[in-house]
Amino acid sequence: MAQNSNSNMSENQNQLQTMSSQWTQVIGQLVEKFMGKNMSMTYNFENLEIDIPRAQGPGGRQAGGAKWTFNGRIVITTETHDARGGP
Amino acid sequence: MFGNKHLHIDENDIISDWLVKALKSVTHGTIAIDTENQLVAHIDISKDKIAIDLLQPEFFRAPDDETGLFDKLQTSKEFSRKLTHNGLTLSILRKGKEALTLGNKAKPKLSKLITRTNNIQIDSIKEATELKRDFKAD
Repeated sequence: MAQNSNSNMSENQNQLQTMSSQWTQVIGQLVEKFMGKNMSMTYNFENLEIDIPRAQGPGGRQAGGAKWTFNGRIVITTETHDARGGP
Repeated sequence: MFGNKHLHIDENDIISDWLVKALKSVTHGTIAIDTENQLVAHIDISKDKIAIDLLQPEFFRAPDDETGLFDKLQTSKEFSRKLTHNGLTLSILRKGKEALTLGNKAKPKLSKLITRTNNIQIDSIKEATELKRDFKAD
């Protein structure tokens, strides 16, 4: 019985590991794509409203919610460098 | 990348839960993404509807993506279910034309025969097929 439960746990862990590695691959590829070598990406935000929900702090204290508004531009530029420091 | 297995999204998957919550917390606005002075995507958010217009869909091609259409639909199906549960609708456009609607406001008719879910609506078979071609690795 204990052996069965151990084998189930290890099976679940394996499944979780596989899922997490799939996600890591997808996220890795997307990051590589968007932060690719020698490229520049511009993100233009226009009246982007984000609702920050109320949260419960230590001792049951309530932290108030908020609304953030984003306007503006973020430019991410990446460059490749020779790791050996040579030309 | 995943062989014959699609990227499975579990009911309790933390990453997709986080993604859906993040989408839900953005209530309004637009994001335009460009590279080298060319607009590649435009995201328009209004209440519970997020419209992603892929103006240069080939830019989003994953180099090692070997998943087939069925695999992608399986993944979308699981994600769309999560969107519906959270009252969210994701509309995917290709070069300004509606291709797919996922989530709450998806009302599939004939496309249910292909997707076998109520949570994905194929707005245009032509655009959806083109999108599949755009994403597919050479």
